[in-house]
Amino acid sequence: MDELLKLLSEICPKVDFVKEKKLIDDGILDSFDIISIVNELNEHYDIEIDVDDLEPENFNSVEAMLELIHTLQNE
Amino acid sequence: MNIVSLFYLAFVAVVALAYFITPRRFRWVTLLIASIANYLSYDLKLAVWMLVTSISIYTGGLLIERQEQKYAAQLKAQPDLDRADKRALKKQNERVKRRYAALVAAINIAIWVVFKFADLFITTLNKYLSTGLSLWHLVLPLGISFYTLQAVSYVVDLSRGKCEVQRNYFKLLLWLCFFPQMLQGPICRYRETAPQLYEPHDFDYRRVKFGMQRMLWGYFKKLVIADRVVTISERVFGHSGEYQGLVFVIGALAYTIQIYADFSGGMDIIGGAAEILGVYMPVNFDHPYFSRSISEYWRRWHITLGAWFREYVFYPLSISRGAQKLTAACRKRLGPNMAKMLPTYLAMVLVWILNGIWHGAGWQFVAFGMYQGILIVLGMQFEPVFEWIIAKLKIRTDCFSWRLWQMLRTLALIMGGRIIFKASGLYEALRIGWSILKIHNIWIFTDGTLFKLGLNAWEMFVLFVAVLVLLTVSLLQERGVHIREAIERQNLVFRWALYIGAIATVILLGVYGPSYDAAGFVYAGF
Repeated sequence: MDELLKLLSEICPKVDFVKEKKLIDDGILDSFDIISIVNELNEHYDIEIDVDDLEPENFNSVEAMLELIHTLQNE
Repeated sequence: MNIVSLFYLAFVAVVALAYFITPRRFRWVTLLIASIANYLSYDLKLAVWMLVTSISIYTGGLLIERQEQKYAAQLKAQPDLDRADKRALKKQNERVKRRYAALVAAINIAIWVVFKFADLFITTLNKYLSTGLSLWHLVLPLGISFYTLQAVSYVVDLSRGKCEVQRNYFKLLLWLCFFPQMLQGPICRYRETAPQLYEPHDFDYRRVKFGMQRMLWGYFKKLVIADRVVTISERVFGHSGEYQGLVFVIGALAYTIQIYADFSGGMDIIGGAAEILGVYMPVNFDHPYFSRSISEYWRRWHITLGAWFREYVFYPLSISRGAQKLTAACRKRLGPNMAKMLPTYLAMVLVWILNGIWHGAGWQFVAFGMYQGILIVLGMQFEPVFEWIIAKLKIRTDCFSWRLWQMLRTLALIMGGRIIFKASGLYEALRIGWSILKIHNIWIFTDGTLFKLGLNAWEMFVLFVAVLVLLTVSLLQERGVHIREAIERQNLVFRWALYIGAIATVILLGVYGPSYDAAGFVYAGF
């Protein structure tokens, strides 16, 4: 979790990833942020986030992103 | 059927009545009959293209479902597959489903492209290759720019496993041609709207009342504001050779007000009619002129179109293998940060070109799209520079004046885009822009020029007050006030005085002139 938080904070330094739980629903992350996050996660965790995975429930919180990473790693 | 007509109001009333007295099981059938009748009332022959689209997505949906069943059967028949084989099988399944979706999408987009761009293509060929081909003069099937995008979203969502297949052709047809939104949107996603269409809704006084109020508000925007201010924008841009400098700013402001009141007013009429029937349309406008940046503006203007381009063009392009390869190839030359952003920026500019083309066949619409895309990219790329300047000049950013400045700056940029959109051509748009920069004829505000743009002093006064009402309501909504609920809490006399006053305003101050037809809606023309 800490590793992911550090990574996300580097991509979007102005966003409080610990506190915010509706990053997409509340419009905190825009489409550019999402693409940047997807590219970083793919590279860092050696996974392949597909366009099918770009759902608000997968990116609304750091926990949701972590779960997505684990799901894709276990596939 | 023109949605700004007494006939349409009667039609909605009859459909609502028929809907609520139909047995619950068949209520969706009432909506289907009404929607088909509505579509056929426009044009009988062109309805065939709606039929082609509906059949294509219905067939595509069934093929995708069959593939999904085949995949499930394969998994069941081979329980001992290892992880790698399972992954390969899943990938193959996704590939096949996407091929079906791509085929159906290609068919529908090809139909739309032919109708929309055939004459532009022939004109270009004749101009540069002297081919001498005659124009086709195709009449665009009504709502094709909207229902084509809906159709594509259905098959793509199915292939991505984001919605359930519809096995009943007639139910799918209803979703595609639902009468309130068929002509000018909003562009509905199947999983959000379709279940509401099929589920029977009972008569609910409060909901019906709210729906009617929203329709009335839409008629106010359309008839009192849009159809009045159109006189100024048509006068200025239709006779642009006669004007210079700040008159174009007035024209651009008029068009900026007109297009918002026209399109969002239409959405209120459509949304209100649907609400009466128990169907909630997706939000298409979120007070866009209060935006503080161009990217925020486009998240609040024509939201469903923006969402469509984001889901089906921008995301797939930005995270595609091609984008990854481009990043890798540019890393050495451009550095890691720029190399990562480049594919996203390119995808963004492409999306905006497509967005521009969606609005019209012509180079000025390409330029309109590029203008928006470039502004967004520049805004992002230079954000650190702006922040540095703000810090150096010690500008306070947590106050009203800064927010107001940001809004006015964004509005000015939007008006620049409106000039490209509305001018008779790209060259003319550039000439107008240059004239604004070069000629500062501030005296037009005192020498009576403003009253020679098609509206006399009284008409200008009515327009001013109406825009003030729109601005006040928008500000209240922006601050989280729910207007209809607030009215509901008032006393009976006040409520009815307000209703009668609003109806009288629309009847007495609405403009019932040459634009009194369906084509009068700017977005219905797309």
